[in-house]
Amino acid sequence: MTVRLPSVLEEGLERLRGGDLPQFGLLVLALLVATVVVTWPARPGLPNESWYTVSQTRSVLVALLALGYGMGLPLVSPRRAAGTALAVVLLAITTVPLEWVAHAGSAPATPAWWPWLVTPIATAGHLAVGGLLGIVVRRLRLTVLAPLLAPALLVGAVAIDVRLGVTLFNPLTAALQVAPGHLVFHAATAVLGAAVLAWAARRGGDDA
Amino acid sequence: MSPRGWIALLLVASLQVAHGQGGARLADVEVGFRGTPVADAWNPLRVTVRDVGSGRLTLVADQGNLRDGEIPWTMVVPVAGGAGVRVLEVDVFLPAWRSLVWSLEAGGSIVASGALPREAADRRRLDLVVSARPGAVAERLAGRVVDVPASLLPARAAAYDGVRSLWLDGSAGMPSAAAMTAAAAAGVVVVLADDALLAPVVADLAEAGSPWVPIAAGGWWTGPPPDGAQLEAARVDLGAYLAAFAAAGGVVAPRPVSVAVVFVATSAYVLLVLLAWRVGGAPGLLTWAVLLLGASLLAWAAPRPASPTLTESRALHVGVGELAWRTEVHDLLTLPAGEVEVARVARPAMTTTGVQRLGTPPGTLLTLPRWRGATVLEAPRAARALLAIDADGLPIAVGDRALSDVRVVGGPAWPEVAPGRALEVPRDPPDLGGDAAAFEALLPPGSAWARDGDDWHVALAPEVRW
Repeated sequence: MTVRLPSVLEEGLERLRGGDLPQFGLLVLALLVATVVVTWPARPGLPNESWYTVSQTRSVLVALLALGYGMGLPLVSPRRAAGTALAVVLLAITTVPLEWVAHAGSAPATPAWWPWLVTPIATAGHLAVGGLLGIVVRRLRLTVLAPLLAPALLVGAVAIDVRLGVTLFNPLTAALQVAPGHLVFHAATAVLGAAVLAWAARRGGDDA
Repeated sequence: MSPRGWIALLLVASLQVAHGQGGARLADVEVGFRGTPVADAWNPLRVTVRDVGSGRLTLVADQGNLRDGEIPWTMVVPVAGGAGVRVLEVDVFLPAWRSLVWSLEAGGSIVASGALPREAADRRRLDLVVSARPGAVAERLAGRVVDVPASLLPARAAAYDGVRSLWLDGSAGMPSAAAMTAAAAAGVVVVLADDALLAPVVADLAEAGSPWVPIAAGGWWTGPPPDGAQLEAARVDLGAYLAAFAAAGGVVAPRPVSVAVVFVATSAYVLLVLLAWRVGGAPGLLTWAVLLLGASLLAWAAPRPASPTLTESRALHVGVGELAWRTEVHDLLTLPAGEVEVARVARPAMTTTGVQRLGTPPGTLLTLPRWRGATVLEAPRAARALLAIDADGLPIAVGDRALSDVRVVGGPAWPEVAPGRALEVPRDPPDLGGDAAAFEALLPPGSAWARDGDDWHVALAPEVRW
């Protein structure tokens, strides 16, 4: 018996099956494994503080990945874009058990459910921000700067949060504490970004 | 009466009323004996309220310094008020303070407040005098001599934590036998002008059915009056014993899963996920979901410590004869940062921010950073000794429990001493660890000490000291 999956899910799984996404995924997962191992206490008696590094590393890597792939979403078909976005979210969720290893060992005050909640929503938000940035870059004919813009945007987000003293955009602080504002911002951005991308795709189709 | 007479009468009456209002304060708070506190010690606290509803007294001692800033130690004492005069007596631990302020809150408003000056934060122990002629003692001792009425001496060992000696000559009455026993148990040298003054104590204790022999760590001084140097030499430094005992314990951080296991498990997870993606389609998705769930459960269960806050409790008994000074010690280790609570009235062994809550339920809250241990010490109290020394200088179990690892300082050792059973053949004392050796070095030769699980029992030999 063959199970028929929705087409977007099929597209997402296809993106994870081969090509550049599983390679980047392997890079992210390998970096996280290395972070867990390097920060894990080498002998008994030492405090286990691995989670504080692993959670922030994971948050930043996933954000960079989502921003980068988000910028490419306006360039492909809506089906391909939706499949890619889903694949990135699945990849982000895949990294959570690695954070949980560190969380269980470090026993921080931050609740264990927080990474499961924030990861899909923040990843969707970052994909949307990347998508909007991709549209702007394309309009301004600045695609040559695209590789620089994702990390620059992240640095800018961190700077704004630090200046305002809040946790809205900063993935570093959002990884360490429950931040409802961060969730709301990324959920709203994801909805807005999806609408704008859909509108831009329809308009592009009409133009063609 | 002439108009002048009426005016004079009204003036006198108004002055009388004003005087009455000025004299009747709503609350008095006295910290230490006769308002003389001792820093870094448990002190008696006496709260007197007049026609004030129930409320709470809050004392905040700032232990901070220029480098670390403010380090508040807060003590909260519930005060049962009502019509008339009510008196509350408890013991609170006062750290060495930079500022100490108190306020009494009742009915939603502050009814009294005050402060103790920084100069009053004196660590020197007190010499209490119950006598009609306290000046003679004050002249003899170059210390902090406080004249105290016999009736104000509490029967709580913790209240005498900051006291060096208690002088009694019978000229101003005698305190209760319980108060004298509590003082002696707390290591206070009780100086008696006459041997006969001890007789009522013995009689009172016998009448109350107490099995305790009225000798204790502090002991009774019945010879010629001592001077300051003799008192210092005679005093048992229970604080030093307790510090060494507290340093000998501590909660060990949970043993982490080895790095190799973490590396193999996480790498295997990554490889299996990549394989699942490679399979693709519904089987790949299902495999990925199973891997995600299984890895999460494993990650949650394997490296997680049993509890985010680990606590161990033990007690130190120091006694002479059948009366001991007992202090419970609680070792904490918190893995997440935050407030850690011990459901006892205790003080921290180090300088830290915290709250001591008396009343019901009692508690001590410490604010600790992540993966930080702390030791808190309960207020000492008099208790029945479980270990004593017989006339031959040999250890005997005087309680209902067998004690292990029995040692006589500078002498032999036994694996066990049990009540009602003869000692076995002594053995050469085994080498002690660093902390236990440091503890034993503090004990006078001829003293015995033993263990009961994590509790340590010390029996001081009276003849060694007197």
